[in-house]
Amino acid sequence: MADTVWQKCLARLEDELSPEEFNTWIRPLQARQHEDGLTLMAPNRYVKQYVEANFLPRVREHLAGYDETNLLDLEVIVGSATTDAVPLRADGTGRPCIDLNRDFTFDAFVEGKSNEIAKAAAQSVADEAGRRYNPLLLYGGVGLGKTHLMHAVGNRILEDQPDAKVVYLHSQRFVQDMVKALQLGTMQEFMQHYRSVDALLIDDIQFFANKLRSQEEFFHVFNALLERGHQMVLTCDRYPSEIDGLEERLKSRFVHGLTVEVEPPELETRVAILMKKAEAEGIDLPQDIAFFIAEHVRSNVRELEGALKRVLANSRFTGRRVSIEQVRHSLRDLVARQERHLSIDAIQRAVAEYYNIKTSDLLSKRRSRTIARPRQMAMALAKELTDHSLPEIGEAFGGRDHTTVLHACRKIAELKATSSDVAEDHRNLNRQLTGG
Amino acid sequence: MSQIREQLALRFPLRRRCTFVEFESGANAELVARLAAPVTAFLCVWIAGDAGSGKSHLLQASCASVNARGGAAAYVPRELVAEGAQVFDGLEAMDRVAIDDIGDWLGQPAVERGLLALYQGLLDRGRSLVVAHTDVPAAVAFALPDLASRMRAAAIFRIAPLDDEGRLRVMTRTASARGMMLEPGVAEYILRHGPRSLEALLGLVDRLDARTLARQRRLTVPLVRELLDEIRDPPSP
Repeated sequence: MADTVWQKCLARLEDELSPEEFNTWIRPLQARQHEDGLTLMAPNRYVKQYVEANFLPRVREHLAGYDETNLLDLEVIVGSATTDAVPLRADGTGRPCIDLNRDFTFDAFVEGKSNEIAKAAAQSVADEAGRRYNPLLLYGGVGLGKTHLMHAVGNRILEDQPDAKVVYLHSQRFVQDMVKALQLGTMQEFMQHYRSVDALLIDDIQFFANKLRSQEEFFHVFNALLERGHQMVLTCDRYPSEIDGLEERLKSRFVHGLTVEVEPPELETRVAILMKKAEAEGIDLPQDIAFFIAEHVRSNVRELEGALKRVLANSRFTGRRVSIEQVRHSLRDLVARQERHLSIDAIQRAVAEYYNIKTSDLLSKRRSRTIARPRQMAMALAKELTDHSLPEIGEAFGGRDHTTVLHACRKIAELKATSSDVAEDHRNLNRQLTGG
Repeated sequence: MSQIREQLALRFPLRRRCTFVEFESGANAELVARLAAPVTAFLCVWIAGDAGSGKSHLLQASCASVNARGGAAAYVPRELVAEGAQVFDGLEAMDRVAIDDIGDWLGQPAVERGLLALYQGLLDRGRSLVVAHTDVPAAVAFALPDLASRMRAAAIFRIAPLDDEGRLRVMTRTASARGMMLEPGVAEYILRHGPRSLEALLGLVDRLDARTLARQRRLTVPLVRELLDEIRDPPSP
């Protein structure tokens, strides 16, 4: 009945208001009729207040026009009729349980040089949950598969112990839930919930930065779980000591167990990822097409998979077979952008800006380390990100010999393995240049 | 004198409806199909297109289609930017959230954290997020790399402009809804000499409707020419 009354009212409001007003303020409202009247649920306080101030008299007037609603009380509250669709825990705490993604398993994780150590560490933790390395901290740039490995640990624990309480959530969700618990006066229940889990998986802990109360509460949860030998897996976009606004005691605890970096995948791994994902979709992706996509999406796995989804969705919609031409069409913005921008000039400008030197320094004969290292970095990036040959690259760097370029590529590869600073510079520049 | 002869046109503006039926999809059929399909798993769509290309219409149509299936949807226009991230609170409970001109929200870490939380909330619940911008995400500066990579992994569509055939269909449909007969010669003249942007074209149809009503005349090429001349060279007050 609420639907009927509300639907009638909606139809009139849609006629009276501009589409923007209707879609912004009226469409998000959900109606629920009860014995005493009609309740409109707004998604937040902001919408509630706006609706009350601007539309409530008009809604009341319309409702009064319907015989069956003459006696209805009308109120606007903050809430949602669909919130219940989020699975609630069976333990009666009423706290939402975000299910693990069942597709994120170790089998589905494509291993390469960039992530093999992280995978081995995660497997080891999953096989001996709470006993070997606690916590496991996976860190590295965005979209590299940290969340996948984290879910894989959770899924493996559930395989071995189907009754285990494994909770996965994003750190922002922890903060939001804690704020709600504080508002509702249910902090004890909140803390009890997290302290009682068998395994806690928290994504992107860098978002705890500057949230002192959240850090305080999480510190207690952390200690309680550690004392009981319950496994924790954390992810972060950088090494915790580099997070500003994070308490020192948390920084040291986060790296108390095993800390492993996940690095961007190299070309062959990106190709393998694409082929595996396509196979999972029932598509036999030719290798040359996988290479084509992988060469154009270098920044991270998430964007690589996003590109593949776009290609496959377009192929399904148009009925066109996946081909280089079809991929070029599906990813035309991305391909055009890369082909337009990734010249040696662009790389030189980006590197010079990054190291705060002049572009002309890169082309000069100067051999001081402050110039030579950026020059080697720029040469290595030019080799990785463009199709230019070694002599062409050498020519573009003040007429140098191709062996100089080769030496630069080898030197940077060597330094990436031995110096975290160089590795990070390379990663940052690569991302910057490829739109990651 | 012409003003004396003109009948005062009491204009009851034809209420625009933002639905897919009113959208001439042209070469954007895949985008429309994606937005119109029932949401069965998390979906993030990024629509890139020039001003006046129909982005806002599509966002609102996508909300209407979710609503028509009994779901809840929220459209967030750029006018709310000044309110900050509080606007996104609780929207993760919607089946679809459509954010217009998302570029206006980007650049401030606090607001982007709100957007990221909304994205995660919708992802956790298997709901959908549709955003619009003039450019593709690879060309947009984000404050949070976490948000950037999620947006760059979205289903990204650039709205293809309508060809003349499509523009003619929209114009004819709009004129017809206003009870105005658009003869082929007149339509051809408008397409050749009128504005290229669809938004401006529909504005012209609106003004032609008012003019024919005021003059009590049917729509002719000289009338269109007169109005276009006025638009290009407005009479001094």
